[in-house]
Amino acid sequence: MADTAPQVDKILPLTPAVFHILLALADGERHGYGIMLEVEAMTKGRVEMGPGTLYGTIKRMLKVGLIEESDERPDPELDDERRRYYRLTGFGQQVLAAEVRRLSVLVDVAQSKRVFGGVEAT
Amino acid sequence: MRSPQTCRVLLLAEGAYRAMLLVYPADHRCEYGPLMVQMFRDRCRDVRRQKGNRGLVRLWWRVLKDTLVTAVVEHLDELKERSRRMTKRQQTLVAVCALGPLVLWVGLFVINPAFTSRVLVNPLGWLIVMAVFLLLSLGYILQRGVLTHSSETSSMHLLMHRPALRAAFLLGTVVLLVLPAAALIIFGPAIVTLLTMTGQ
Repeated sequence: MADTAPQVDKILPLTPAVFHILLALADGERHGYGIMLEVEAMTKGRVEMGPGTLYGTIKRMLKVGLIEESDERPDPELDDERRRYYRLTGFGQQVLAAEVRRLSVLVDVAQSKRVFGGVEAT
Repeated sequence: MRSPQTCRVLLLAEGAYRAMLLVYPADHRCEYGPLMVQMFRDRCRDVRRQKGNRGLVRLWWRVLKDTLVTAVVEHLDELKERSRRMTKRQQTLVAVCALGPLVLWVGLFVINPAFTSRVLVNPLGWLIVMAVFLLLSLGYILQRGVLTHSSETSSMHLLMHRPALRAAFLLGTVVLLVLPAAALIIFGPAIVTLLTMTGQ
């Protein structure tokens, strides 16, 4: 549970770990290993989070109120009940949207300055 | 179906990782340790299946770096959190304990630079300081472990639940461990140098 609810702007810019975890949870709740696999898939294997980084970041994100633990299990029959599932909070969604907007403005600037050298950004 | 050798390798890796988690603060370990072990187990299983033993070695190297870096971060985080909850008096006490020996040594250096220089270049003295730091760290880990563990196990819980016993335990730690260690940190190198000088 969040101790306080800080303003969105005060949290930005996000660290890469926080941003990746928020993105991984954007389309549904996941457990720790599921988050790690999703981050790896999103970044085509370039970012691989270790257990220490992942759970340390999750701890701080829970504290700030960006994510919360979920009691529901997508499929309780198939899943280990000791796993903890996490999902975005409303505040987390706001922060993610604000960070994406901030980054897209920067990408626009980079494109206008032809930083990509004629190669389209992927 | 996994072969017995695969099971053995995975169990060994998991055991080693469990032991490695001791570098994290106790609170963090209690809260997230089982989840981290579970994640490591899943990762090991997948890496071993996809990339074999070589993949496991690479995974170990990454996990080792991750653990060392994040353990420092978690300890700093815990210190920050604790100092935020401290009263002004406790903060002053901690500052005095941390800065006291330093101020003492700078003072000694100003008063008697020749003697202090001899102390500072004495390897035996520094060895004592390091040993004492190790002792203090072990004491700290032991104490934290007992106090954290006591909330779960019955006999220890009963013992530590009584305020008088808890106070006695803390007092014992201070008198038997912290005070002698602090005295050795402050005076150890000086005593060794004096003994060396007397022997010459």
